[in-house]
Amino acid sequence: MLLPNDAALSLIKELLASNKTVTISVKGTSMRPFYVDGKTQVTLSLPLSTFRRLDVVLFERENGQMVLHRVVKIQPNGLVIQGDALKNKDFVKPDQVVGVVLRHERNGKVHSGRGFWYLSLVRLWVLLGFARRPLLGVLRRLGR
Amino acid sequence: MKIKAGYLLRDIAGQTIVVPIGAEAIKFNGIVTLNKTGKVLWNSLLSEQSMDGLVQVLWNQFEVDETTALTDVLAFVEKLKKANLLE
Repeated sequence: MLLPNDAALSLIKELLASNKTVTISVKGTSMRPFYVDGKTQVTLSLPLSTFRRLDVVLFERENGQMVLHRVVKIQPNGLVIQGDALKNKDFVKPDQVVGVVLRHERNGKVHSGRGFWYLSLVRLWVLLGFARRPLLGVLRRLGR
Repeated sequence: MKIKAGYLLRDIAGQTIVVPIGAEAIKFNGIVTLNKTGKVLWNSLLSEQSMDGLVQVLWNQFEVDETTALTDVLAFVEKLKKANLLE
């Protein structure tokens, strides 16, 4: 089902606020290689009281855009957030964050957002940030 | 037949969405949306209804012939059954 962002966002916010989890399909390629456009589904919950580095969060840009990217740095007054496939970063205040990803699922396989192997790969990926472009190219050629 | 308890209709961006209020996990992929006819039938089904009753409802509210009304009702009830929304 496709809903305009603002409409979906208000419903998602409301459902999360009543302590439900919400599962949505990922759109776009900015979270490659971990999330695949249209194939990965993420399950969100309300953000915890403290944010954790490397969590993926759903946040609202000031222009109303709804974005699902990863927390790469925690600062006293906000979060630095970046898509796994991107170079540019967003600075986001905690109240712009709508939800945090608990787990994601692709081809029936479920990965916890804090799973050891998954987080290790994420750490490595973030560490190799300077080489994202070529690495993504290689992965694409491998059909991943 | 009637709609099971625990569901709410929400109008969002021109679509009516069935929100399971009791469920702890909401999957947007599996979410049911209703068109105008569906919404009317849904609201009728909040109380016990027969097939004939539903056809009557459509017939009264929309300018349709009985065959079309019956086809629509059958398709809708089938959709609800599949989504396990009827009792």
